[in-house]
Amino acid sequence: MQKKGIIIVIASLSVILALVVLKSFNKDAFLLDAKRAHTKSLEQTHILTLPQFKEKLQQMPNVTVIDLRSTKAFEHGHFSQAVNIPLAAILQYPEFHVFKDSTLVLVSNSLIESTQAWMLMTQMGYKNLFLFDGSLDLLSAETLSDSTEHIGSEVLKYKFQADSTINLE
Amino acid sequence: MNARVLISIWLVGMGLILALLPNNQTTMGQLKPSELVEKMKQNDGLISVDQLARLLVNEDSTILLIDLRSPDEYKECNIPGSVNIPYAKLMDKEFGGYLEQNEMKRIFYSNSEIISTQAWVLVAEMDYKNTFILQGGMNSWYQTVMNGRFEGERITARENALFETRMKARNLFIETNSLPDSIRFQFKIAKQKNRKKLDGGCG
Amino acid sequence: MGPLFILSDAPLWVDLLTAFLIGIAFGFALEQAGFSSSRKLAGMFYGYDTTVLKVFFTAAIFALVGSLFLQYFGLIDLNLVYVNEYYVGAAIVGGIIMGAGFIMGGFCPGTGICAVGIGKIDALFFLFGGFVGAFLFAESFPYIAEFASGYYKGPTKINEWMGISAGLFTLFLIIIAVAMFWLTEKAEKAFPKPEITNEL
Repeated sequence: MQKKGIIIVIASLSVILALVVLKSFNKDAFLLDAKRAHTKSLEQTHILTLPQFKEKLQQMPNVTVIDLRSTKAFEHGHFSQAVNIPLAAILQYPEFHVFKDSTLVLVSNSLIESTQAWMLMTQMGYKNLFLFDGSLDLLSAETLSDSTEHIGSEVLKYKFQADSTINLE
Repeated sequence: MNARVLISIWLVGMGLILALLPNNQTTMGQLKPSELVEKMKQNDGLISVDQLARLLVNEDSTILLIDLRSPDEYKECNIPGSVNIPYAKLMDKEFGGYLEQNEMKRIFYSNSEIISTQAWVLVAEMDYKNTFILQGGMNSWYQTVMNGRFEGERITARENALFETRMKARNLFIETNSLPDSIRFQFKIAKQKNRKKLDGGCG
Repeated sequence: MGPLFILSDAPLWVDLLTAFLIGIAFGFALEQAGFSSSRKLAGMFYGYDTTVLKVFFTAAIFALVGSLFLQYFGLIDLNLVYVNEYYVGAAIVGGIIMGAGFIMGGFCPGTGICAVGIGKIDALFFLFGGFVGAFLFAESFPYIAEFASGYYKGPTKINEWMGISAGLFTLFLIIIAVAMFWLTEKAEKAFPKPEITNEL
């Protein structure tokens, strides 16, 4: 009777411990919930304008550029030391977790794609993760070399002009 | 060893496991990373400014335009019919009613695409459908709808319809935003569809 | 229906039915544990019978452990659970009044209704007293409103206030509980009242 009780206690504890271990080693799980990801994205330090991006590129060996475009576009031309991981295959990339501790910059043709990748990877626990606020297509050797100041895309570049002829009638 | 001692040992064991739990923040209803990537791959969550202009001109009532910019920017000008949920307040309970529903098409827009995409991901991973990102955001709206001019020799019927829609949307935008503030915001105070508060008590 | 699904998602009758079934289960458990006897409840204060402490503490800890594990595996959302708002002054005074009533009456509100259910006359009066108290509180509220809603701390959880994780706090609570069970068993031996306990 006593032995049976002890066995039940040990068995149930080890089953739960096994479940917990299984769950915590599951790679297909987020580390951050939506609320924390939201708080993190509010800092806005992850958005690199062109000058900031160039600065990051100069620290090159310590920074990895992740190119989210298709393999075809990547082969056409890319940054040296850039890694090509199309967004659709991002989780299948074999050495994905190798990057966990390095500084990463996400680049793509579409801001939507790089932001989606940023949100995904941030929630999976990547910390030194940045995204380039611009499109690779519009980036040429000249724009990279000129030193004009760039404003981020999240600034309204137009001013609303009210029509003063409209009144209440 | 009697039952009490056994239960005590069991409880302490459970407590030890709990105390050592890794700080894993998955919550109920959150998608897995692989499921979220599947959703991103489908790529059907985009809407162009021309599509939006057509929806506005046709007075489509199934869309819910959500302006994620700051209240000041929203006051300056906004796309007619939009409600203002500043991105910083997106997860607040007071706006839960707008996000936690599948009936209306939510269209997020900001000045560009970064903030609206962030909002899209947050809503998508809670497994709500019918969420869209306005491609190019407010900047693209200005560029295409407000300042777009036809340049060419001959206009096709399709282009003609397109520019007519843009013209109408442009007029709607200017008229609505030129009205005095008191009238513009009289009916726009976001209805706070509060989630019912769960009350608790003890016997 | 707490954290399992959102209230407004289910029709009202489902909510009411669930509440009814849970209520029946709760009352049945209370009666089966012998809590409709006021001597058992008062025994907690005098130390000859500490079943109340053991039952409620164990229940609370089991619920805590269970809900934390369910949350860890993503089955429930504990953020939806209502956290009582904390008014320091009101909580202290209310606790003293309730505790005194507990010892004198020999019932807590839940077990009082339980005891009415099995036909105890004294429980009927206890319940009536509870209603009178509620009436007096409501009538005198304007005079004590300032105190009752003062020292407001908002909905706080102890582990957040201490700055530790919920799991670690649970471990502490379990250790405290086990220590208290051991102490109360000693107390039962130190202050025996066989003439009462044999009857129970």
